[in-house]
Amino acid sequence: MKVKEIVNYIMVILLIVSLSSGVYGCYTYGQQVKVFRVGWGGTSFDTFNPFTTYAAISSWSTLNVYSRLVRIASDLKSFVPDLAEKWEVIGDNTVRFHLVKNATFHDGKPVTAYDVEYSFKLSAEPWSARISSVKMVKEIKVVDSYTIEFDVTSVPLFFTEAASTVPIVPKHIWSNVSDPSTYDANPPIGSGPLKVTEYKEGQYIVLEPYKNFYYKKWLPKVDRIIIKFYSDVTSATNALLSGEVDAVGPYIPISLYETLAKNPQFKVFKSPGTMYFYLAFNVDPEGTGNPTLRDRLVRKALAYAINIEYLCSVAWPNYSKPIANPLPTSNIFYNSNLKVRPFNQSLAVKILDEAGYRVGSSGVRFSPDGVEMKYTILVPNKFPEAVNAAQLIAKWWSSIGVSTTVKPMDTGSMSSIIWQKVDDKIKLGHDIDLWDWFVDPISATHFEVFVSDRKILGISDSGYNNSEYDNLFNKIYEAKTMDELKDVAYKLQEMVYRDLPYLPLCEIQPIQAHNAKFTGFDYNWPGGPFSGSDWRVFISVAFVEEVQPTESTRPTSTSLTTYTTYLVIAIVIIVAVVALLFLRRRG
Amino acid sequence: MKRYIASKIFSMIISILALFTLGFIIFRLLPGDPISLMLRDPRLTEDQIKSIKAKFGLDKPLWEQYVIYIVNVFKGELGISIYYKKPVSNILLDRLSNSLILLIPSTIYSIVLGVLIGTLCAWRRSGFASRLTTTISLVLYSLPTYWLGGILILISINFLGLPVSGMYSYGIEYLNSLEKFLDLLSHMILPSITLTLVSFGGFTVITWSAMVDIIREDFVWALHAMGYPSRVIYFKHVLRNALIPIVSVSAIAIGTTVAGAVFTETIFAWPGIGRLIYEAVIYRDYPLLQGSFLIITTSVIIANTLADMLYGFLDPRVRRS
Repeated sequence: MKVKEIVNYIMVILLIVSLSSGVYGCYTYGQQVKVFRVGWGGTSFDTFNPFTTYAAISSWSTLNVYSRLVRIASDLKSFVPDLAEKWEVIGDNTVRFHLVKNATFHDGKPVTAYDVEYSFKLSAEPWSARISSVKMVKEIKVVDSYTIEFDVTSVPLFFTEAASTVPIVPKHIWSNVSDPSTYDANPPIGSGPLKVTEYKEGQYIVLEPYKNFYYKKWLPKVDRIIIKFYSDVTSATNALLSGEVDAVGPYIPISLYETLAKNPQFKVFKSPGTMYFYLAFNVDPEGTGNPTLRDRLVRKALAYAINIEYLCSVAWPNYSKPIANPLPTSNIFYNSNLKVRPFNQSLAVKILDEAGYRVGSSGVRFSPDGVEMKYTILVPNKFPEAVNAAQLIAKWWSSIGVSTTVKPMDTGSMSSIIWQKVDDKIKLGHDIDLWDWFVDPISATHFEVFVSDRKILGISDSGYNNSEYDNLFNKIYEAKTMDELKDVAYKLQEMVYRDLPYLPLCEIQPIQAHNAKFTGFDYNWPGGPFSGSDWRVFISVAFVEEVQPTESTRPTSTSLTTYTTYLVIAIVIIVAVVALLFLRRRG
Repeated sequence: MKRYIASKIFSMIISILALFTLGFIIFRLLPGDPISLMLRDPRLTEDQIKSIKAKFGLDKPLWEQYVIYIVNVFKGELGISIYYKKPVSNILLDRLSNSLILLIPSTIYSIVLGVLIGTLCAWRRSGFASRLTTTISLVLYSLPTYWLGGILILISINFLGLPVSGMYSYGIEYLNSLEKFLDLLSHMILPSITLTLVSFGGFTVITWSAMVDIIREDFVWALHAMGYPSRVIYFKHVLRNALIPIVSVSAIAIGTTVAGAVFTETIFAWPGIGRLIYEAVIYRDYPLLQGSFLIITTSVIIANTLADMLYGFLDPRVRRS
């Protein structure tokens, strides 16, 4: 290479570097704005319409955008005022709410009892996702602009299911919408302490304080909250590690637990669960699964043949616990009098022997009618832990003469096997499935999953059909007091415990993490602060005092300065290579 | 030439029409229905399910759903997404532009790098460096995107400090558009490197094999005998003659670019069409799946037709046949 070419070379590189430095030098930092960023790796955001959303993230994003009449208190037993500053219960069935008088929607219009009435009526529309929450409401009466009365079948249920959950939307906007069932409500106009200032589909939502909110103490301590969407929790947790977000929901993957726990920059914690795994036995009288499972004694024997405590500790180590009821233990209606059945294979064998289930020549038992105890467990392949659990169960059952095949598959395939349409009727077509449910911490209506008509709607995966249970469940809607409601819930659990359409296995306690420079979270809230159910998170989040003054809008560990440096280096290298080739070619 | 182009366009239209039907059938063959997957709530009511089915036309017989779909496609309507409850065309356009921002440069890098390395390897085909480069290209080509992306993320978190997710540093108030552009570029680095590394190997191998075939032809010996420098022979004459298979593979690559890169977009949380398709499959969002399928297949067919036309232009023998 000639000296002239080398000089040319150096000149080109110097020119590029100097130009890049110019760009680099133009940088100045943005304003000092306190930002809290959450990475969400759960189910995708769907819509801002609170009456049609089924996604946890959509509800969570707007929990503080739309007001509720009341909010559940931290003790999960009482309610605190929100839009209703006070209320009184009149007789057994009427609740009168007095609304705050200075409440306004984010567009400046006042919030009145007519908006509340309209919101409850929208909730009761057949297309509404909230219709079941307002089933107990018989009549709504607007007394005056700031007083509203609800005639309900059950006051305690009304508070847990409706008054604390129905979002209050502006009637002056929604009543002008041609079809509220397809309205995307973007940007959402509510009257809560946060308002949506920016939304990019599939990317992020920006929330900022609504300065005219009626309770100043509920205004957030940060200037901006950003919820970033990820396709899975691993990507979201990587973003936490790289400093692109400050917290991760709904949980962190167990594979990254050690990495985060070792790093003092992060606070990693475990919260009470809202999710549980269970075995559902096909007990559908019209079902096409193995008929031996309709025998309660068989289910009882199978239950005794599983070491649930060990199962939880192996399949979900350190973040699960065994449960006796189809509810997480954090749910206020969990019946703690019922205990997990002990692991007792001898008892299981005895029950089967006494019921006439003999071991055949192949080592597999068969019923007095000659049906072999050969089962298939369907399990969602998106939960490898659940697949391991199913395989462990199959192993235990094989030692009592029950042959089990585990079939992991996607939930779509599971649904099509479980709920089969035969002669225009839904019949359950599987033997057993191992699946999960999420349950709100104050919900009593989860027990509806065992009501007989749930099978035809593609909800009940056990096909449990018991009119006694159905009648008892309906009493939930008539409970006059919380104690009465609890009593019904306890009895329902006793029936499920006795009849075993479900064998509850493990409650999952989510592990979550956030950057240690933030504080103000309640780690004991069921599901944790970032699962999408805690309405207080964005109000209470704050910087720990010592880092507050230095905080800026820019991510600290991945600042633009660093990015630009790498960009400049990359550009210089690419241009240099191209220049080299070009010069060589000319030569 | 005109007849050749007309016949190609005619086949293209027939293929696209056939794909409309395929797009409708294929997703309905997937087990499970969107309602049961989306609405797993023990408290659902019968009216609620009926109402949602009616809203998305899922209560109608399949043939009727098909007719509505075809009529709507010709009207330019792709329906309403069952999950997002928004027009499919709006969602797709937004996501498509995001995907193209990432994928067009990555595809160009892959083609340029692949052709360059393939040519160099063919030129010095007996050398150790050539063998090593070909092996490395093939190894990278065989690497799972998810794994390579994960490794790059790990390296970035521990050593580089490059952004590992999203398109922008959301929440930042940019002082000017240059700052925003640089922020976008910085977010593109890792996904672009991943995409380039996993795909340039294919171009390297195609170029290498096409070049090796041409090298044995008489005109190459003649050029050597005439005293032309090797670099000129390989880069100017041999490469030009080896272009047909390269153009073919490049056209397919550009066509499939529209499909996004499901794994790369998922792991780097890039809000593109690939990630959207992944989500649409999970939720069995038929209108969204049909819309995505339509756009992807149409773009692949158009890209292939253009490549066919280009063959005719590059090689008159193809045109005449």
